[in-house]
Amino acid sequence: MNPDRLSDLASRLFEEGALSPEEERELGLALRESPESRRLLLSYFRLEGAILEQARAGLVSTPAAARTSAAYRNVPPRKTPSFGAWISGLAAAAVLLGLLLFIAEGGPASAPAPSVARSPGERPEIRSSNVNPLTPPPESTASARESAPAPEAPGRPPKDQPLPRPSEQEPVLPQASTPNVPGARTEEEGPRPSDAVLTDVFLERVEGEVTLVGSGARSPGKAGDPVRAGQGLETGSGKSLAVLSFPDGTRIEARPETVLLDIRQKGGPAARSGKSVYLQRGSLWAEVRPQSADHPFVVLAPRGEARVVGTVFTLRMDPDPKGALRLDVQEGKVHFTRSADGRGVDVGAGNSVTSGQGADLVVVRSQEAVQSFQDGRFPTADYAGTRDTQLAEKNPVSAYGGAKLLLAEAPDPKEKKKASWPLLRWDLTSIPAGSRIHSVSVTLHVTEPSRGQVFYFFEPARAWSESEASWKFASAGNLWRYPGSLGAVERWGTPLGTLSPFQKGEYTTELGEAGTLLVQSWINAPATNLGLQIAGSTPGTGFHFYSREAQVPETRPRLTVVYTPKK
Amino acid sequence: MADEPLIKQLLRHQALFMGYLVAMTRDLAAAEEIFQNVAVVVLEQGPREPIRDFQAWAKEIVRRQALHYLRETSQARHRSMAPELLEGISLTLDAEPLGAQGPPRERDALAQCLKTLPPRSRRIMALRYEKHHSFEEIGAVLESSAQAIQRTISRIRQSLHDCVRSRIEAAEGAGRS
Repeated sequence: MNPDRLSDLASRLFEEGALSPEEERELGLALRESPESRRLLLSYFRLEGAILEQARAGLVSTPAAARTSAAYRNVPPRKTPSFGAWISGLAAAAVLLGLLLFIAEGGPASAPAPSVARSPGERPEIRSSNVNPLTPPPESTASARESAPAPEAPGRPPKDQPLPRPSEQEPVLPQASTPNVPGARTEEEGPRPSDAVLTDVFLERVEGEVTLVGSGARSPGKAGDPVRAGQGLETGSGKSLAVLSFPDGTRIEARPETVLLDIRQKGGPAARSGKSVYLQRGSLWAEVRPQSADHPFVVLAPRGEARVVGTVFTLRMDPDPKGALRLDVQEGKVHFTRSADGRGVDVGAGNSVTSGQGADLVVVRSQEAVQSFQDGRFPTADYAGTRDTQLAEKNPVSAYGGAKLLLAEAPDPKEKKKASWPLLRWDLTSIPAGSRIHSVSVTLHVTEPSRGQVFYFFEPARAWSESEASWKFASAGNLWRYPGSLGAVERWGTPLGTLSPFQKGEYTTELGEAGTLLVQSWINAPATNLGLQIAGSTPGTGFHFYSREAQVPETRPRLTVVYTPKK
Repeated sequence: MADEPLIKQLLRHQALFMGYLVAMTRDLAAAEEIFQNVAVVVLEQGPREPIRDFQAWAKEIVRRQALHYLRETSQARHRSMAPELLEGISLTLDAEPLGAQGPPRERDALAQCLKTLPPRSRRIMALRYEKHHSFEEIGAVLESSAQAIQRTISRIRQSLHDCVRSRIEAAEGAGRS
């Protein structure tokens, strides 16, 4: 996205209704696609926070010449006690209590202090203000709060009591904008919003058909829905996907055709387990934040279980009911136990294990590999193996190998529009010949969509040169069999995949069986790699996408191959 | 750094978190309240178990509190934020490590940039950020429409952003030379 446009959208993000739904989507897609966009928005976050900070200090209306950060020392206390003062009170009370207990008991072996009994909206009385609000006492702040004495006269501190001021180096605590400080609520009030959020597992992302199941009820799952303890979810076929988010940041991605049951934040059926899920069918990918060794994250499945204390892994069940459970570990270590005989084994990064039927549970190197090819990014930042251009009918001998944007457009005689068909090729020689290809996908970053009209991937008719290919010529002196390439035998060959971009952004096309076989042939015999061609036949439709010359590497064409390396 | 009280670590990144919360809620008061909730959670939860990655933990709390607020207020909202934008904002928070650098760079540059604003612009920003006036209220004071005020604030924000960036870059350039 144009930087000016991005800055314009980012500057309007902070006001309700300032962005139209289309602009929100546009900004969202830009943020998803481009790290530069995210960095820019991050700087807007910082600015917005800094403005608020200045405003709290009264410096927006009167930015005095000499005032910089030192000005924060001279901010007059507000009429109402600040949140910082409240925290300060807690800390001070804890220090005083600790001293009193120490004196009364004659040493550190004191009896537990009584808990604070507070009423809604009450804050502990601040008895001392000469404690830095941002420097809690050596004891933990929470335990200090719990052990603080019950205030004799509960309520806010007296107005004439001086409030502590943050020092120059220390950030300003937020002012209480509402009289009720959530931390001061009692048990009778029920959980605070923060508690509810912290204990919730929720659906962070949903694609396609996702159903929440539990207690005999089924309901469509939407992003943001909480997942109650014991509930499960089912993903549909195709591009269905659901991402579960746990309070500590642990994420589980349920892949298509997966059934997860009994999702729990803690106290699952596995003894001493913390978080747990039951994988009944399908596969999941998990990124697990560090867990306590006593309370690991446990994924149960019919043929085994995985115990995790913090790692990234994939667990999948063979669709065959008698099939195996397979664990692939990408990072860290996972303990895998086979249900059939209770045998267990630790599986480290880059390794896999299958429940299988053999006597031994053998850990092997993960057989399946995923490799992307994109100039400037994958497999390494110095990869430059992409070649791309377009064959433009309107300029039949012009070469477009250096274009930053490529156009795929179907001809339309009525509108006098000519065809434009892009060519793409990636050097895949880093995949060893003989490797077995499982799937292939092509990702393009569309800048102008085709309003959903379908385009197809084909195999070009013959070898072509990026710098010389044109509508008429595949390379200097070598004519296409048919102008514009396409089939070597007939003009329209077998489509390998489809693409129908209906809006701007990244589009990934999974090639079908014919496409996978074609790429398999490229791996076995690299000289046969002619790349792919995009063409369509619906008159007057077209779309633009970034070529390998695009400035931002993330937007360049990408080919991703899932394969088993040759042993 | 690891021994530093968690609340202090949180407050070092307060400006960024507040900016994120305003972007999510489009409501200054709500953003401040959410941040208070976050601070309470950090105070209460932090010491119970060792935090291995404070930034990731704090970001997750902030993110969850914001999402919770959006869920709770979804009925009352005119319309929900586009899911693509919601995801984009979330990705932005995770964009890069927060770093040890606190807010003084932005704060000092912003203080200088605020001084360059015309009086009317500064007044609009003061009414908005210091008094928490709505666009309608500011418009009534300055005899302008709410939409014009909204647009003006966005433009001021953009100019302040450019000004702050250029000052920081200039300062960094001077520091290197």
